[in-house]
Amino acid sequence: MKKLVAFSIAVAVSLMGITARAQDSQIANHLAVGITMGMDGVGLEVALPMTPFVQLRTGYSLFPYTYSGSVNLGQIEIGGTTRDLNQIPLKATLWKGGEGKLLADIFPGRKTGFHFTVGAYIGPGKFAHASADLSKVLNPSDYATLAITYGQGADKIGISTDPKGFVHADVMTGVFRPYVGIGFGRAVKPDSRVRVTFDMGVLITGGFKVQSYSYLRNEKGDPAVITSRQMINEEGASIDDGWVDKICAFPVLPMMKLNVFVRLF
Amino acid sequence: MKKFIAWALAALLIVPVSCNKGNETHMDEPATKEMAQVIKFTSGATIGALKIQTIELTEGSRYIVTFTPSTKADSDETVLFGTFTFANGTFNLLGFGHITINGNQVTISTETAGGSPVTANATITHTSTSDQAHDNLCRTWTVGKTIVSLSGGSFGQTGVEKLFPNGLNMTAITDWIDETITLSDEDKQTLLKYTVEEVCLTGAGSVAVSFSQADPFLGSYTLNNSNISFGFDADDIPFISSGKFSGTVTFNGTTCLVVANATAVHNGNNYNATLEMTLNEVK
Repeated sequence: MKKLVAFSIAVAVSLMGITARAQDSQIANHLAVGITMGMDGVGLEVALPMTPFVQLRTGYSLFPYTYSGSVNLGQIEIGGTTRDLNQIPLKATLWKGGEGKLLADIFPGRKTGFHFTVGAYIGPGKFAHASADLSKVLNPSDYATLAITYGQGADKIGISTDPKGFVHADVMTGVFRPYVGIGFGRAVKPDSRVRVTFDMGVLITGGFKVQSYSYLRNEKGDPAVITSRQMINEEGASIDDGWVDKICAFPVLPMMKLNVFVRLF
Repeated sequence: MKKFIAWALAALLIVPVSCNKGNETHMDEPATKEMAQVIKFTSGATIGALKIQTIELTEGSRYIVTFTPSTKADSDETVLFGTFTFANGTFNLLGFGHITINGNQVTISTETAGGSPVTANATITHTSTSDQAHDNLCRTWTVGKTIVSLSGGSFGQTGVEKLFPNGLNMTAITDWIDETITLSDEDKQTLLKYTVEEVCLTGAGSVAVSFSQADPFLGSYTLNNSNISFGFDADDIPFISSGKFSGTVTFNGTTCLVVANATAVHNGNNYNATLEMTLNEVK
């Protein structure tokens, strides 16, 4: 996350440098700072017009809301003892670690607000993250030492708690995700101090991975990728009808975002 | 032009790094690799009531002595395992005695009080490892962390894994297996004895395992690249009915990761049992 903030600041400073040098050429001669809110969370963006037809935006966003509740997982036999996994405290959030972005708005006309946007989101790629607190269910000696395994051979995965007794699960996308979309409004307009813009498009994720972790061999956690092959009951029959694989194969993630920019100069 | 030369030099620097990645681990040669040999007695090596079958001097400064069973009814051979040193033409087998080798004649002086030296004929085979994997593996190891996995049987499609961070401590492992699938009292009592002290693998294909509270096991192994299989006397190992394990070995610096799989039969169920051991070299 610190790296992303540093990256965003560095890009912003670079853009300001370009602006200073470009004052005379009428290119990149304005700068706006905006607050964004949408499916990537809440963020900050810096916008810079390069030409009447192209504006660059860079920024950082994170999801400020964490769901806290409980989950009922029934009863499960772990290490020979039946444990009650009902009312397990659960926390869940989206885009853990935040996301950096670099976007280019391409306007078909000198005065049009409608634009196409291309660019990329860069970050840990944790689209969704959940952690369940099993510290009260397990013996402390089982934290990060006891795992449940699913599947056989190459399909075998193990899931354990971390050293504090929490089980973690993530829905992962790639670290680098191209973005394409359309939008309305110019983030920077010389005759307006405040601008409201709207973006909608898709992140090209190439698919998703659902993964939990085992901490038996690596204190930072080895990913245990969960596919439909592991979603089987004791008789070996599928319990998800392949839906985990089908959903994970979906290659894009829709995005919508509302932005409010203030022109600094 | 200068930029081109700079890029070319940078590229040259990258190439050797890329090549090194694929190389195998080369561990330091074990202390007694050059002395490794198997002494197989052909006649006369009797110490008291015991007849010595073989003495193996291993790459990892350990000796393995096997004795012929004392009675025909007893098929178990007796095994002695310990450390040896070499000085002034004599091998000092700590806890057993001294041996000197002259051609195919071996003189044995035991530490037994009042015992006189015995000279016997033997066939002596100097062992040598044939590839890098054997070079790395054939030495003496202690067991670092161990992960025991059980699946199949009453678990169905699931299973459990448990990390034991302090060696192959069968007291802790037995308690956990018993808690998981309830062992018989006989199996439990037998397993409880086994806390592994050292594992010694040799170029002659032997594997000796020493325990803190039980006699050592002697088994055999075969290694083909990273694939390994172990064979022990099935009677020695409760729970693993065949005494056979197969799996893989990988090396990293001075450690070796052995993943050994076996089938365990318990209460009519077949379990897949995996023992994953991180071995640390004994220097």
